[in-house]
Amino acid sequence: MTYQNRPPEQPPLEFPYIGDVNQYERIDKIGQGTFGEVFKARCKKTNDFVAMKLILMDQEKEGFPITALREIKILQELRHDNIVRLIEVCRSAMDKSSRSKFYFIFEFCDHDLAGILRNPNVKFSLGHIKSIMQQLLDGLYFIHKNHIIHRDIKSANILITRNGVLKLADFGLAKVITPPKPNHQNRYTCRVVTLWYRPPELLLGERDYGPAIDMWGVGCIFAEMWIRSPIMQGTSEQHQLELISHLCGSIEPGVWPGVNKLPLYTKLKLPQSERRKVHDRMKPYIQEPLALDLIDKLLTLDPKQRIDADNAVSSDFFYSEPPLADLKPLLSKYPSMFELKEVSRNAYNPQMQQQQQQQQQQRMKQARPNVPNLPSEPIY
Amino acid sequence: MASLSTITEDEKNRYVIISYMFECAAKLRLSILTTASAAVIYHKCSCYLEKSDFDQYTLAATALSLASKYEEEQIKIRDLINVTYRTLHPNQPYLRISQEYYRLRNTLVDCELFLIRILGFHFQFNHPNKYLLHYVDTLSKWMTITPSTPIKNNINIIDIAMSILQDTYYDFTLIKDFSPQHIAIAIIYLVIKTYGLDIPGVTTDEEHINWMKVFSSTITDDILVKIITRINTLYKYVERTLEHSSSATKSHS
Repeated sequence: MTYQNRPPEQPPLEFPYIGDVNQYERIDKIGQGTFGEVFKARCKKTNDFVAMKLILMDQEKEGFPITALREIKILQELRHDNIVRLIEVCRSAMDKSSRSKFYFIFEFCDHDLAGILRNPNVKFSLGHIKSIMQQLLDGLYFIHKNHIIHRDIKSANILITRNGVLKLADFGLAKVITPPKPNHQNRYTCRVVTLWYRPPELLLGERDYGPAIDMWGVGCIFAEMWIRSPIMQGTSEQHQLELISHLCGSIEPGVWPGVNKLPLYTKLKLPQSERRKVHDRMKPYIQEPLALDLIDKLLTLDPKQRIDADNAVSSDFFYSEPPLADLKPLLSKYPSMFELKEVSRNAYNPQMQQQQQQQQQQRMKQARPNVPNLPSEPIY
Repeated sequence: MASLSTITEDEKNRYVIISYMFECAAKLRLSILTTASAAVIYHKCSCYLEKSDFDQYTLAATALSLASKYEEEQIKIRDLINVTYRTLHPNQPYLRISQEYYRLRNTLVDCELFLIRILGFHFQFNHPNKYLLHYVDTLSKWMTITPSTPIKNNINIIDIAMSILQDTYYDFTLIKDFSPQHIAIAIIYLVIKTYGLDIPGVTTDEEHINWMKVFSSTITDDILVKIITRINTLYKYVERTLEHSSSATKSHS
């Protein structure tokens, strides 16, 4: 109706060709990070829940960010039960000052693994852990087989639906890699992966890395399933390497041929004559010897000797008693668990919301000093 | 469907733009795959904008920018603007960082978002290149030559086939109406016939379809004839169109 009242020389701005984000109704904020904000939303047409993630366009100088294009490309090409499904990309209406914004619309998952692990009421049986780890490795095997590395494996990026299906999420740092060539060295950025889950080769400045960097993160998460908090919470690159050495033994050419050639090997101070104590230190928490063996193989210092997703998924751990257990009965009785859950049921009271936000932030600060929850600096 | 042996005004315009695009891509040292993707982006988008007076050169520059990002061969936006500007205005002085430059950059960035919307973020390209390489590789084992054996004037079969393939990107009909497998086969056939290469076991013209069926069961003589007719039309008209358009611009300036 209003259209007809407009003067003919001012037709309404049209944005054809791609869906409008207004067909989804925002409900709750469920995530926050360097990548931007993630909202839970409901599709007005189908009433399905979705997750909505804003595409950051801070590098407008060079046009549409190549990282976002990369994420879209990877998500469109990967279709697997254990990889989060991209439903579509939407745009918002343009406001006066800025260009229209784009949003990823994902299928909604109720929990993230970090949120579940921080909830002491959720008790995992060995069968549950096997199910989670197997799904994680299945997903990783699939992306690695497609020459893609995730580069930000951590428990907060692993989503689990209320039906107990694990979904690998956040491909914001993922990259298509080229297989190693004899006379060519890849020069990827080594400033990827959240510090606590970052493998030693990245900390030492390796730029020609491969799928093994994701497997180190799997090892960290594996141990986290029992210990319930990230196992190596370093405060700096130097500190992280010290923690790794305390657990996995000294980093030296004896156990890791060629490590002395890495750029930062001589520049950082590495603990000497540390013994490998993966088994000893985890035994009090993890009674299952096959699990310990697999963690030991995943937390191998030398990326060339570290177990790959293919071998890990066929490890004896998954084929011994007790068998895999369905996660659905365990998870469906809990409300959403997200690591950075922000309760905003009073969305109409901005003051209240602000207060809550502050409380939430304070609580976060108390619970975890120096949270390097964010992936390292954005690349480029 | 329009006739395969004639071209329309719209197609003529496309030849001019693609030629401009290929020139810019060569100056920017983009790989053939990135160039090909840019051509496909341009062709797809420009048919959405047929009825508008959208500037085709801007569209071409934006297609190059998007393709370079998508194919992980990123170029600096400044280089892109300089090259596209100089190619379009060879007699103008170099573009300095100025209001004019920022204006062009903003246009490019806006246009990028617009093209992304038109394509709906669907950038999957199924180029014939990989099929062509695999087919030639397989076929050459049978023909007992290697793909790099020079067949004429030190040029090997792969290079000839690839340059024909790259030229097919001038033509929208070849991109939209035929499958990449069929294009690849037709180009190999064209090279084999042009240089009189022998395939063991093939004695008559009718028997050529046998090796083609091995690669793609859906290919028929009819499709083959259509593709080759179109490639011939393309070669006949591209040069003519470009000569005509450059003489037109010269007389204009």
